[in-house]
Amino acid sequence: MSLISLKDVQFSYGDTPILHGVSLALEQGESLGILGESGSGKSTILRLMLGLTRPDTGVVEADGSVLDTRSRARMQAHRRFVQPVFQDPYTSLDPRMKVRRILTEPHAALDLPGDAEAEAARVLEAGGLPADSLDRYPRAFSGGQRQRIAIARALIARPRVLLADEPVSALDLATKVRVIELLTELSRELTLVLVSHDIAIVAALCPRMIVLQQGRVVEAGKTAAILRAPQHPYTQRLLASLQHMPMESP
Amino acid sequence: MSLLEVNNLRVHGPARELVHGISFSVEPGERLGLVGESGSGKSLTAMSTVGLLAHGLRAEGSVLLGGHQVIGQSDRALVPLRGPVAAVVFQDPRSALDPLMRLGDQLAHPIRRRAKREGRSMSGPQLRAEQLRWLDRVSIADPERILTSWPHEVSGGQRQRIAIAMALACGPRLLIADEPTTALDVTTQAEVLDLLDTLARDEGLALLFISHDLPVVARITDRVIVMQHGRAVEEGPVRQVFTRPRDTYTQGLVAAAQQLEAAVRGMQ
Amino acid sequence: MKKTTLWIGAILVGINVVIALLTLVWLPYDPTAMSGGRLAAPSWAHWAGTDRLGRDYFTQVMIGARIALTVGVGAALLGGLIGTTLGVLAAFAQRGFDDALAATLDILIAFPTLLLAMLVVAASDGASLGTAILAIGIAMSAIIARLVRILTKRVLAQDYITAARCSGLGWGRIVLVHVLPNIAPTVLVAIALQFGLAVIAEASLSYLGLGAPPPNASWGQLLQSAQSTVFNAPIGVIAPGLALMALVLGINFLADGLRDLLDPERGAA
Repeated sequence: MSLISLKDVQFSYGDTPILHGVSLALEQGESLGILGESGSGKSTILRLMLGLTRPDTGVVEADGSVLDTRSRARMQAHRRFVQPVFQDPYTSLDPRMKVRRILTEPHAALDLPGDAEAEAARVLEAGGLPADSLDRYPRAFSGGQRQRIAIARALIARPRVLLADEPVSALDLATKVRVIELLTELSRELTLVLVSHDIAIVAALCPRMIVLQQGRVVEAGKTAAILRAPQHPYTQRLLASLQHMPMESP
Repeated sequence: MSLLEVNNLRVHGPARELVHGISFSVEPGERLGLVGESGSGKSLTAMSTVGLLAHGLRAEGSVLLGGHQVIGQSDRALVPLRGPVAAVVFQDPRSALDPLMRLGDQLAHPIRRRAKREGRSMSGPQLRAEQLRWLDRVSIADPERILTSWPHEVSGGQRQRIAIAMALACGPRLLIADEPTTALDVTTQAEVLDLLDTLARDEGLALLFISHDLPVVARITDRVIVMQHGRAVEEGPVRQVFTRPRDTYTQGLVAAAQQLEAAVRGMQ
Repeated sequence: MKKTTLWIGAILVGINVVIALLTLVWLPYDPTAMSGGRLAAPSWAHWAGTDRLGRDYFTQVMIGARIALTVGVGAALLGGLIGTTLGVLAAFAQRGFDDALAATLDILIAFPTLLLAMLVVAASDGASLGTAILAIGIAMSAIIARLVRILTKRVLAQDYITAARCSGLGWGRIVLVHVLPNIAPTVLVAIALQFGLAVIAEASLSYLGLGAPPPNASWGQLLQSAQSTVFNAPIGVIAPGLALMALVLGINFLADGLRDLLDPERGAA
């Protein structure tokens, strides 16, 4: 049984079609990269998976049943099942809340088991942040640290799926690599959906990937196979567009 | 004589010094990259060379642009240098273009200024021919339509191409490009880099290229300065710096970039 | 520098507040009794002289401070409350309702406060403190609502709101714990600035006879009655005029100082 699946999903924003019949499935332990450029509809797929919006036609299934965004009970269960991490670490934390409150907010609202304070300490450590972070405001942290706080917040619900929207593209290179390492570590416990325009990050984190172009899945399969032998011309062009580090001259 | 000669440049912010004495030069036709992470002072350094620092920032030291001192000059004195000597392309092509002016009219400005400077008069048909020639130079398809379009009607990649056309139409000898491909999609980035490469070669342009992206810098420049916290920590030919870095900070950057690349290479 | 304006503002407003509170328990003279000669010049006994009926003028100016602050605070509370509620609702509203509300607010803002006040007075049984508060508060609420709507929309577009939704918070709680605290600094400063305008509006209303009736005379009314004797006894215009200016200036300084203090980027961590 898939963790999350989209079946022939169509979606429009007003009169603008965004997704044209997208189908995909996320399997347990097989993190999925959704590769696409701006306007490909990749963020819309994430919003559908989070239950923040409904498809025009088609079905979103999660944890074995259709995701009914109108049912409060179903959505509360879904919130414990999937949690998001966003691109911009500067807008994803409320500037007027201390880290303690940011981390414990979902604990209370989702009625999670365990002691909130102990859970906050647990996810803080899992996110690789010092324990004294709890009593500080987001502005005391760098972009990379903020992203770790956002990841820690997502972990408090002990979700089975982590949906990450360009989680490292706003970060500096060295920070980026460290956050990727953190996500790699986390992906042993939970399954990632990673939305990105950056092939390197998808390659680093996801054994499976789909390539999205203007609201259509043009290629899907094992990441290694697609990178080795891209079938669709668009995927070929994406790969050819990569810039490379110079190699040591012999 | 160097086209650009920077000597012990310091940039002061309202509270503290942000660039702590950097020196380098750019020879005609040379391509220099300024690499660093956010807050390294790379953009401040580049903007100081054309006297375009934001309000509240102050530069000190010496910047000779085409033989003229830039530091301490009034904006009016710098206007004749911007364009004929150096032109700038910015990261966000949306804010670099006037949203209330048709693209053709915006492109006409630098063309007319250059003609006036060179004492040529420019008739309507001549101007139009020049506009079309520049759009063709930056590989814009359908130039007739673009001339009458508004900035919001074209894609980000096209906007950046037009920004480049406007910069080059001034006839500069040095093009300063501040993260010009960062806001673009991967495929568009590759096209714009190819374009800059070709144009720089054909026009004999010198390039001062600012970026945090090591592979991009490697693609477009010959020599690179690595900046950290307002200081140059390493300088040298790009291949040498990116394959055998000496400074520990550069080593960290290069290792991180290689680690990212290894993920893709490892699978291919 | 910024701290100085805050302090000057706090002192000017503070003096007015102290005087206003003092009038509740003590006055130098009975404001309705003749306590000196008519139109007497300022003296030790009568700091601001006397009016045409020989009543102590300083006492009346003191009472004016109470009226000004009552109307100002009342209008600010009313306008702030209605405006914030409407603004948040509009930010959440579906397109049609939002547009209708935005248009209504624009009309209300374009509508002169004085005209609105006259309508309110005409609709109730005569001018009173309450009508002044109501009229000024309604006018103020439109301006606050428009601001709150834009600020709320901006906050709602932030990722931390989406994160809160995914954390299982309902919209009501999101407004309470995320939206209101984040828009509060800007809205409070706007309300403080409107407070200053409300004091002036109250003075204008009572100058036109649409404010509180005597003996609770406000500064506007004092100005109006002293107008005919301005050449014989200029103090009659100067005293309430200065008082009005000091209070409004103080409020504006205070609002400016608050703006810097509440700036989240520079506030205390």
